[in-house]
Amino acid sequence: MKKKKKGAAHHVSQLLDVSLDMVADVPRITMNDNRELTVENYKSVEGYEPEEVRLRCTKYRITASGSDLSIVAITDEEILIQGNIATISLT
Amino acid sequence: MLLTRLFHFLGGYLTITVSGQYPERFLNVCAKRGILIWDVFPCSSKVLRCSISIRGFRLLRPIAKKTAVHVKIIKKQGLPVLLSQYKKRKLFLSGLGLFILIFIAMNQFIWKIEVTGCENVSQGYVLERLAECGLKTGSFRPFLNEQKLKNEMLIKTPELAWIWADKSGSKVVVEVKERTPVPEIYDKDAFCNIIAAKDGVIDLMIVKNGAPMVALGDTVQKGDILVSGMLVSDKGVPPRTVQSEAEIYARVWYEKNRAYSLLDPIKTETGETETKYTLSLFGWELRLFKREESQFSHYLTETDKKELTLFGRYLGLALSSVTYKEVTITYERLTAESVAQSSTMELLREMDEEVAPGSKLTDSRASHQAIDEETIEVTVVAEYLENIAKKTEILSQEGE
Repeated sequence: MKKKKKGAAHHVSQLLDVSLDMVADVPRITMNDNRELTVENYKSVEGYEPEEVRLRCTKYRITASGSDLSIVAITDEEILIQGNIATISLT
Repeated sequence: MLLTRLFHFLGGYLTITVSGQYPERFLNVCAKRGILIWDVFPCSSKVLRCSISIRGFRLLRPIAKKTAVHVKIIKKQGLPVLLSQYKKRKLFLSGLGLFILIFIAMNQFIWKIEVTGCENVSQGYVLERLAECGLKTGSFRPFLNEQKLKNEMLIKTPELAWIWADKSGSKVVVEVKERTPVPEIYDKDAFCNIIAAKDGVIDLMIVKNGAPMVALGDTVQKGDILVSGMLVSDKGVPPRTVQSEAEIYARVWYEKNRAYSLLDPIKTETGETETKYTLSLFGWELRLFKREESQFSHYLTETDKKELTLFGRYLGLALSSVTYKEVTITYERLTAESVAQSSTMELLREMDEEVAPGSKLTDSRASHQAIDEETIEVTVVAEYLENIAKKTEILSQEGE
């Protein structure tokens, strides 16, 4: 059921030529240089250390690692992380 | 970013530490409940440091309980915090309040009146009249009705044609325009003669109405009848009275003499200066010096005035200073000719202002004679072509 719904959103976005986050509830990850990371539509913060921030999303986990990471702003839908970001993994 | 910081500062915020097994959970719950948290920094794996608004902090208790964390305030920041600090210093606060109150109260009065546009009427006279109409230093500003003042002033002062009062703080700038004198208008049927206003020799006569009594080249004295309004006919027709009209140009001589010194003072500054300050405080003058006169025997003065204004409004405070610059005077002896030349120009200029407007200078002679070794007397005789016609109404003969 869930897979079907996701598939439908994909099709709609491709059909109407709009970005996926407009039709489906998927995370939107924005990076400015290696200093600033914005994640919209995340679920929660799982772990927070200066070297690593783990965010939980609907299907996977976003792990940003680097040094001097700090959460500058956090709201229900959006989180802004600043610092030296070295890697991002979606697992 | 700067703007958000400003908003945080105005609202007041706290820096807190959150310690517990899972401080991240605390962040998640706060985010879900819409409590804004910023500048989150992990001190260790179990302790977070973050900033939170005062309003948000009040909602923290149930969240802290639910997520099993311990919240501790490290620092209070922002405007409300600063204000609450001053709450304890009551005397300081009341002093500040009193000062502002006095300042506002003093601003409700007029401390300075400036009059501009005076030509023949003196400023003192205008100020006197303004005082009669209710505008003087120390009058209460909100009671001042500019429109009423203007109307009253124009009615009470016939010399003025127009007046404008501009309030700017405690200063009122009054601009006046003087009325030009009304020319004498005679009744159309009035019986008028033209008499000479000055002594002179007639040079040109343009008689528009009336019988001329003098001829070209005649020497007339002041008060002589030039054109008569009584027309007498030799053919038995009864005499008729008219209002005579004429322009009579005559050569009029003016003479002026004055003594001038041949020694020309040259002032050189020595560099020594002395400054005296006067503080004008709500209409009172506060002298900030002891001796009235300068310590120098010869000096040049320079005055300067600084007014305290706030947003272009005069606040009733001004500092004026008089700077005395010491000078030494050395005398240079000039030749009699050069003094005579410059003083002739000066005397001619003075004469120009005295004669009737529209007169023409036709000739001038200057001479000088020595009074003593250092003084000469300069005499200037100037000839002007001037309209000497002056209309006078004859009332006594009207009944005859």
